[in-house]
Amino acid sequence: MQITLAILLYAYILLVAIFITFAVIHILHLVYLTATDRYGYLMTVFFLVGFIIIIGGTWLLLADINWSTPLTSALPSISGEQELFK
Amino acid sequence: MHIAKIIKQKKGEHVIMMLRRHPFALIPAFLLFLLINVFAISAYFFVAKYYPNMIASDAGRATTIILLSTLLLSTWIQFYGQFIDYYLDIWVVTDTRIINVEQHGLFGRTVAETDLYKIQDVESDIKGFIPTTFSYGYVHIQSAGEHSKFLFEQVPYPHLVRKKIIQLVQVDRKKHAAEAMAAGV
Repeated sequence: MQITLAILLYAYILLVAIFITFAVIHILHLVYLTATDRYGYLMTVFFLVGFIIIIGGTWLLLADINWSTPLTSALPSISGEQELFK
Repeated sequence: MHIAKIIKQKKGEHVIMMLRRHPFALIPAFLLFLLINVFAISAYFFVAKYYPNMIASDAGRATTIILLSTLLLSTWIQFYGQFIDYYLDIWVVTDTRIINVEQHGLFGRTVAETDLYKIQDVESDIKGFIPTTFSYGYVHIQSAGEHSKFLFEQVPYPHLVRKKIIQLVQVDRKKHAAEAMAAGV
């Protein structure tokens, strides 16, 4: 079975999903359990915007990737070295 | 900050001090966050300029972008955790008790309190160049209660806080002694 780049993408999506779950639980925690104020909420929104920018930027940069490419092609070629040691 | 959300004030109880960590306490975390990200982004541009072959293929580019994005997300959430830890740590001193609200990371939270008349020892310290320059440090409080040790971390003017707490403890002790005398104990 050939392992493709898509595996990397799935792993990344899983990580983002975990982070989003953390963020949602944390915001609920912030709203119901802690005594934060307007400044605290503002900073949370600021961090969420940063989060969205990082994910959005990554999405844009990855837009034109061919995900069926074999993952092994990410490894540097050693053919040059083989020739060197001949 | 809504004080009513943190503590249920007793009748006739007055809030004397509400303390937070000094803003300078957050600077090391911010600098570390900045350093890691600047280094990672610079490394990406360095590779793109001097070793373009490494990110020329789809696989190389996708791997680099995903790794960089994962690093950015991790440091961003780590810095947010540090900010929350800084921002939600709060110490309230009223004329009858001390309340210690401590946040540990994103999801841990401890709330403890002790009556002023139970306090046995108060100690303050400022250690290091930056804390001395900006006057922030620790106040250690030892009480006879179940949660016997309280620590005010990186609060501004810890020596003044200690003096004020000692003053309040003396007043509260006198009040309790007078009440005990009146009750005939």
